Amino acid sequence: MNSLAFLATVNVVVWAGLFLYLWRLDRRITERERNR
Amino acid sequence: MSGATARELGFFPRAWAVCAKDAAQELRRRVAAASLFFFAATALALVSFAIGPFGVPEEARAAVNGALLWIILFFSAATGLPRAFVREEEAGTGIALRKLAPGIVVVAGKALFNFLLFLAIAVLSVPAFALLLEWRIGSPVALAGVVLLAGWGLSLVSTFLSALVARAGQRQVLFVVVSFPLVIPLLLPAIAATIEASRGDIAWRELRVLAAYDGAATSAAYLLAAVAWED
Amino acid sequence: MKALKLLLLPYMAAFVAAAFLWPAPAEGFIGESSRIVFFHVPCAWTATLAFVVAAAYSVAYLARRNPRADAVAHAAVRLGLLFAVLALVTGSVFARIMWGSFWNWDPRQSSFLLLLFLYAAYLFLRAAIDDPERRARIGAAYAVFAAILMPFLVFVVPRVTESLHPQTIINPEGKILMDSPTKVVFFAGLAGFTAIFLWLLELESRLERLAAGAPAPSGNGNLPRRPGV
Repeated sequence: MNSLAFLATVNVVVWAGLFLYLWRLDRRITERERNR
Repeated sequence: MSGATARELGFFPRAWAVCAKDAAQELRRRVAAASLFFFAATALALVSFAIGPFGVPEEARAAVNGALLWIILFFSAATGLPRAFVREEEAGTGIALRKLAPGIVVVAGKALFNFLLFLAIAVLSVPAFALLLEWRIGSPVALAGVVLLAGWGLSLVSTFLSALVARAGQRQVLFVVVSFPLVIPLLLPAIAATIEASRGDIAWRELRVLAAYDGAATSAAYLLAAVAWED
Repeated sequence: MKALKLLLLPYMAAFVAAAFLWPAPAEGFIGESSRIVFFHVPCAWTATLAFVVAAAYSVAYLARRNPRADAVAHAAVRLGLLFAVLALVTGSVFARIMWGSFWNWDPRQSSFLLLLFLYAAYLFLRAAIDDPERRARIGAAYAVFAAILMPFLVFVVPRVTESLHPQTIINPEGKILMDSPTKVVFFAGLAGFTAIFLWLLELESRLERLAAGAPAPSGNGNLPRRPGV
């Protein structure tokens, strides 16, 4: 695998992780808002 | 002076009254002036001792001296000027003053006083600085102009910011941190203009920038004075 | 809104992959380093956007004293700090590759450093005030004051003479000197980063409102709320 493809893959993984984290956070905040 | 008659007077007489009150208070205790003076003197001594024996090469002298001068002036202001509003808190006069004068008047008055204080220190430090570092200034008039223009901006911003930090914790450090980013766009042209004055030229472009900065800062302080002075 | 957020994953994944795989590296740059523009510039852009948002919401707060406006301003500054750091770091890495040193006192580099100090000062100021209402008011006053002086920060510090910055976007001719694939990826990235910023901003503001003990945003509109009521 050439280095660019490698970098691209790494970045996609990082971004996917970031997105999942944000999504979970969003869900949890909506939960808490609903419970108030 | 009752609230009603106070409001009948114009803006400038009232601002001047605030300034005079601060001046009277200052003359009695001399806390601000003393801290300004001693800081400037110590910094000057430090710089002279540090640089004097080693000397700065001729070509670099104007740049180094210009930068050092304004560093000293900035930190002197940071040491002595923020007391403007703390004075009220300590003396307990804040409540009364709030009844008598709106934010603009108070900020203007204190800015005026701080400006005069700054000029007093500048008048003492700049010649001392030039003397101690054997700095030959080509055009003292140009330098005076820079000190006046930059001094007003510095005093005004310092006064406004000291109103903001008057009731915060860690005031000394906070003030420096808070004023630094806002004051850099003032100090850089001031230093450049000082270097030019040292070479005997007038840096018209830098002076224009300083004037523009002063205008913007004054307008900003005018708009926000009431907010800063609120209880 | 939810759909948009969900779309962000495939969108950004595509953008990131494209950034590395599609456009060719630009001329005049060392190796593949021109690709950094896809990440560096959006960071700088969002950092600036954050400043504008913070200033605008600070004005809104001072006008109506609605704590929600202050929460947004505060969140914007925090995010602005994050993106400014990212912009400086990516920029420094690029500088190292191109010119051998991380820091060059390049005017744009320096003005971003100053922006960083400004953000930090705002946060420090807020941290030093206990009373929540006063904290919001003083913070807002500082933000607006800084915003009025901002043009000097932006135009004076970068003396418009020599800058090491590549002039592919902001240049004297006012044209964008990029080829098509690069342009597409670049603007896609800009939009993506802005979307991330807005999402983060929304999350942060909601969190702050929750922490302050206010009810959920829906149904409350913009009614000002006084503390303790």
